[in-house]
Amino acid sequence: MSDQELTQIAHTVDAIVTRAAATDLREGGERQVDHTALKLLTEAGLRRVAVTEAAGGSDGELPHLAVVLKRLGYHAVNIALLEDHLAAELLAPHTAVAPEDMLTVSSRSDLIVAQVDGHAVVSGSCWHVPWSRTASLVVAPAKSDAGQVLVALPTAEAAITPHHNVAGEPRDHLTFNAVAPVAEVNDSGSVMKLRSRVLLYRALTMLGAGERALDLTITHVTDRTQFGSPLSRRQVVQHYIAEMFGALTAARAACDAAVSALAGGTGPTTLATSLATRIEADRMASVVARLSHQLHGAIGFTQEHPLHLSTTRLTAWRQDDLSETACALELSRLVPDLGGPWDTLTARRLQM
Amino acid sequence: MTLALAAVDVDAAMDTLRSEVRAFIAEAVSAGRFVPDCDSWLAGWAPAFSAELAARGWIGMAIPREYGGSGRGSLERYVVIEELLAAGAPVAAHWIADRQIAPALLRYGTEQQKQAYLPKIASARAFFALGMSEADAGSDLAAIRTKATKVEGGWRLNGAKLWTSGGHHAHAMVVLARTCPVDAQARHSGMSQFIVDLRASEVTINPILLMSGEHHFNEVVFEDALVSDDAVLGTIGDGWKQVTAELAYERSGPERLLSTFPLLTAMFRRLEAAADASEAELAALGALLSRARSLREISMSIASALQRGEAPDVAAAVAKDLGTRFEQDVVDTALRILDGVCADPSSSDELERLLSRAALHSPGFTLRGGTNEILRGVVARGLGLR
Repeated sequence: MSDQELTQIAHTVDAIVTRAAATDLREGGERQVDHTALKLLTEAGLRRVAVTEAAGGSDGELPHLAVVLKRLGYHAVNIALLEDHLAAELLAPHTAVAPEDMLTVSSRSDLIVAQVDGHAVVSGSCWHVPWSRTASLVVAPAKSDAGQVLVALPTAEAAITPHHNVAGEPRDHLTFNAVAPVAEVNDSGSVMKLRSRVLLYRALTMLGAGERALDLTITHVTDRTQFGSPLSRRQVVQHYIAEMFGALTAARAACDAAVSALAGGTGPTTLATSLATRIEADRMASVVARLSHQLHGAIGFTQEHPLHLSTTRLTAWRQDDLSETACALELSRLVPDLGGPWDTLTARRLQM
Repeated sequence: MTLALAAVDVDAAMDTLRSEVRAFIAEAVSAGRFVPDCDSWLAGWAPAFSAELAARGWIGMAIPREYGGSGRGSLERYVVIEELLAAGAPVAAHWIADRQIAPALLRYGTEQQKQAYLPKIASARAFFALGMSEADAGSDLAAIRTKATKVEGGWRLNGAKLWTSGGHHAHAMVVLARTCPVDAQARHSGMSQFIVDLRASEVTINPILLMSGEHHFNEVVFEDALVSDDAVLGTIGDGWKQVTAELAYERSGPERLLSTFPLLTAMFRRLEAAADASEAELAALGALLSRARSLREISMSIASALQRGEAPDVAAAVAKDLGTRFEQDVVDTALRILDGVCADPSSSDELERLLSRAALHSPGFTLRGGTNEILRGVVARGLGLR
């Protein structure tokens, strides 16, 4: 794949989103799916870009998906593309995946698989599941006699408690009581892949949202005049912008390295890479959300200004999957097995 | 604007080289030829160790073979120096010459200068100091007052350079001096660079002790020091342009993020051994490691951009701003989480010794090579804000 190809994908996503998301789709505090964007992305072959064709995908690779996720994050589009893509990726090698079905994933669950009359049934809960009410299946880790497995469960069989995050995106609680899974993947690599990929994909959407917040902020401080000159003339303003830019550069470097490292593998190095990437994205989100609001002044935290579309997502996404500290703790605990901190940093080079 | 920093992939040859360096380091440490320390690229002046590295072809790796280097390129050089820095090896003696003077000579030097200095740099027989800052010219480098006056056959140098690391050991110094009076309309013009022999009798070197009591800094005074025309580096009047072109090398290397890495390694080791390490302590180290990873990726991307002949000044400014703050964060984290530790340079406890050096050197990390405030200005300019 070439840089040109990736740029083309970014332009296509930009064009689609500009056509589709003219309005802020928010009702009663909760965002609604942007069906137009979803339809156009599907038609353009960008919905399941790195999934096999049989599962409605385009047979692309991780770098293609990374561009799509970054641009969707940038434009604050209300679709569960991240979740649908990951679920389809996880299921496709093991079971048929309907191209038109919308899927989601859960990384927080206490599901248990039991055998009843020779059939597997799943019970337990999934918390903060993204967009579950518009998905037909949720893919989640579960405990079984065989160890950790992945199960795909029909959302129609769940008791759903609606919930949403500060950006208004649905994050529901689902409870299953002896529900037959549509698919069961007995493969610890798949569970690891879910855990690792969901962190990386979220980091990529966060990176996009952070880039948008910086762009809006640079425009604002250049246009806004106080004390007779643009805010951008003030040194403290320049330093805040440099701080935001630095945080974004760190997050971008982490994401880019992770995308090239993860195109294939699973295992502790992969997980360490994803954990480190999510930590950097979270730190960026903290810096960028805080300073972009500070530099925008009052207008920035009104509904009429678009800044909140980025910053509420940056804030909300920090709460998805694993907190920054939980990531840091887990990363730290992987270090001895990876040979110490320096070997952990250089491991990608020595292959996993 | 974003920084186009492609993720770098290092091929298998690098892994072989990395393994060789690691084996060499492990042997040198176990044989007691060096004791790992923080900020070893400033504090670890060890000519004998430099000579060992030179014998293996690990100095002057970016110098072509015809000038006595190994010609292996800047990415392989990167692997060697990051391994040495992460291990806290004493590399100060050859550091400036290898990092900065050799590329400057290759870019601006005359054939005679290249022949004279590059083989000696690669064999660890010529160590250099940098002559930029002065008493009244810190962040505002264009305010330098050291003056070179044209005389028959050369230049007469008068003035004093300040905060010159290793000036009391180095053989030579590249001095930035005014060769024309200041033009208020064009402050950056009229400066030139000279290669000056620090053993000359018209050069006086006065020690300036760091707050730790260590002697690394110096004041270097020139009183009618005569330098020949052959000692002009590059073009008279182009000094500012030449100095700023070096900045990407000076600001983006692994030494801008690894100065305290030996302390981080020791902290991991300590917590690993402690049965009662708390989650808060472990998470604090994990957060540092994730930042180190991003910084390393940024730094390596800049190294490959430099190799391609690009001048990623804004990226280098970001790398140094973030990297040096990370170096300080390692120290701050150690102070915050380590209980029952008292930093002491003479302690038999490795952690106490490393923390002592790191804590006392820490303020310098965000000052040397351009203060972080100056760097943020560079970033702002790159983003079109000034």
